[in-house]
Amino acid sequence: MFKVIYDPDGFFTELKDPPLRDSILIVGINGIVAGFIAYEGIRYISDFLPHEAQAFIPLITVAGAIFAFLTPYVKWIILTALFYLIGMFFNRKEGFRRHLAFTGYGFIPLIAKDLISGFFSINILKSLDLTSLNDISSYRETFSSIPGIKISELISILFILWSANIMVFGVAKAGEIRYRDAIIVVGIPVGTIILYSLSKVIL
Amino acid sequence: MNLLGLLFILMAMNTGIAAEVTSVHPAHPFPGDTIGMEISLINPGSDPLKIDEINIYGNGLKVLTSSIKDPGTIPPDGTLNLNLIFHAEKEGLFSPLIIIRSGETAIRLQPQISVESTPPGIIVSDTIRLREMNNINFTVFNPRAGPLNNVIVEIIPRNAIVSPQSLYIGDLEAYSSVSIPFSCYFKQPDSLTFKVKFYSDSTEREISLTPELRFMESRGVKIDVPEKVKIGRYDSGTLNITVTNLRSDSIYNISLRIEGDVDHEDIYIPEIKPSEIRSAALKFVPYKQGKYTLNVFYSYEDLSGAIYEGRIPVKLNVTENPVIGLSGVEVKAEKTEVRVLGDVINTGHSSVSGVIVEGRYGEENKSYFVGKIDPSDFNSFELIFPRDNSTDILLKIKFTDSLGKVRTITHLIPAPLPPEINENEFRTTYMMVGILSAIIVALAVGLSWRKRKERS
Repeated sequence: MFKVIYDPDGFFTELKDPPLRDSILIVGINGIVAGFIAYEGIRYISDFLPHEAQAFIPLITVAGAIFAFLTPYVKWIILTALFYLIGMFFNRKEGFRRHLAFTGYGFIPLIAKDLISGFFSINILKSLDLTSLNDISSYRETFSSIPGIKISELISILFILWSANIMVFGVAKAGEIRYRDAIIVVGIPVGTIILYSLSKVIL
Repeated sequence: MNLLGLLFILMAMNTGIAAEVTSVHPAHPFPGDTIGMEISLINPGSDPLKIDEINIYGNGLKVLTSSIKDPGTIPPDGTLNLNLIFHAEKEGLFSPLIIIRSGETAIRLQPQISVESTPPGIIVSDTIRLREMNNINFTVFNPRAGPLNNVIVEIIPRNAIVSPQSLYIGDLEAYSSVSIPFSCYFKQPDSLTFKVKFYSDSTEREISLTPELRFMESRGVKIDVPEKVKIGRYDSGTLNITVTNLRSDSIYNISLRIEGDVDHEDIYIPEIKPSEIRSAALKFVPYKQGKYTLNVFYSYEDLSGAIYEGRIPVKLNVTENPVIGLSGVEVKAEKTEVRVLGDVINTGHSSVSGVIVEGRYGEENKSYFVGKIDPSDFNSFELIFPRDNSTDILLKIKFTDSLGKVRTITHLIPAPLPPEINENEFRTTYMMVGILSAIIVALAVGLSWRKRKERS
């Protein structure tokens, strides 16, 4: 499976008909990492929440971790659905399930992305004065304006590009379309995501 | 023996003369006394009666009036009183003979006089404790057949203290005794002289008696002090001391204090009565850590003003944990300030008051008044300093201990680098990670397309 990160074309060519199980596992690892980072972040913030919110902290923490765990699966399904739909314009063949199985491998670089950005986010969070944490939205603005966060976003974009690269080969093999067409199929949704991320960094 | 009232009437049938000893003075003479004896000669007849001569024989008593020639004539129904004088030279029962001659008739009068040498005595049966004021009794007894009147006892000490020194006892009947309380204080075994003044048959007499005295050492005062004490530095310790007065008198101006490397309270007790047990708590605060010995110094006075002193050792183990400490100290470095939060806890046995946390960070000094903290309690503090590049914060906890002394405990805690410095570090780290990520991603993507190209 390691081959997919430096030679996805070769990997997918050899794979031919991959089981859905591998993709579920990869996205699951991504979910565990995201869930752990969410848990740690909420746990740290909870110390500074008002007294009246303290009773809900265990619930918020568990709910946040579960939500973060499920998010990669949702992303996986939505992205695959978009690839599947856009692929229709390029005479893609095969079904949605095959697309899911191939696209899942593209989430491998996102595991590293979540680890790196999560680690830095928590460190930056700990350096902030959260003693008057009443208006969370104002803190989000402050948080996102920190240079460290902006760099973290740029690093995330790099890993998203890597994921997109793997997904291009995956979609090409899954839909049996040309690589040029696969770049468009993957580029439209992923490019939108990257543009959104860049806008957060620049604006 | 009192012979008053004893009537010797020897009547000659044909003369009708009667003789009577009307008084003997003193009735109970001592050897050396002069005895006066009054006799009455009675003429019961109707004719005057001439007394020719009276002859007196002492029979052991010295007769100072040996004979009376022609003492006179007794009128009818009249009486003639005569005084005879003897001198008692030794102890014994004597029967002087008095012969009264009238014409051819003589009558004999032989009264008995007891000369007794036994004086009154004094016994001190109680044992006297040395260096204590003994409240005991002495017994005055009269071993004589006659009473002693207006008895006065004067106690004459040599080196002892005695109270009272003079006692009026009054009359002491024959063969009787009376017990009299008195107080005495001896520093060392010595004698007591009792001067007894009394009247016997209206004669004033005085004797000095030195009864045998028995002495024992004083039981003193028992002072109980704990042998070992374990305590934290600056904590309030208590030595529970029991003072038992085993003496028979009160002790005064009792003073207890600690000698050693501790601050302490002194204890003063004005008086402890005989057999009284008094408990006292001697408070102290150790300021030196380690194992060392203290001395409990005591002193007291007795009634005589004598001062007694002593020292009792106590082993002390002072642990390093001070009475006041910090808990949960957190240093939060923010953009413009550094905040130090935490609790001041009292792990000792007594309350501390006036607790102030003073902090020094860089050039800035701040303080936070915490106030009083009871044992096993804590209070929070917070110090806010302007941001500085110093790497540590000096915290001083000032407090007033249970003895009212102000103490200071110092803590040096590390201060995290201010956020700006951290942010710079973060930025550098991010840049490095970013560059590394870019290289890895570029390599991976580049390699994947190269492989793809090679394959096609």
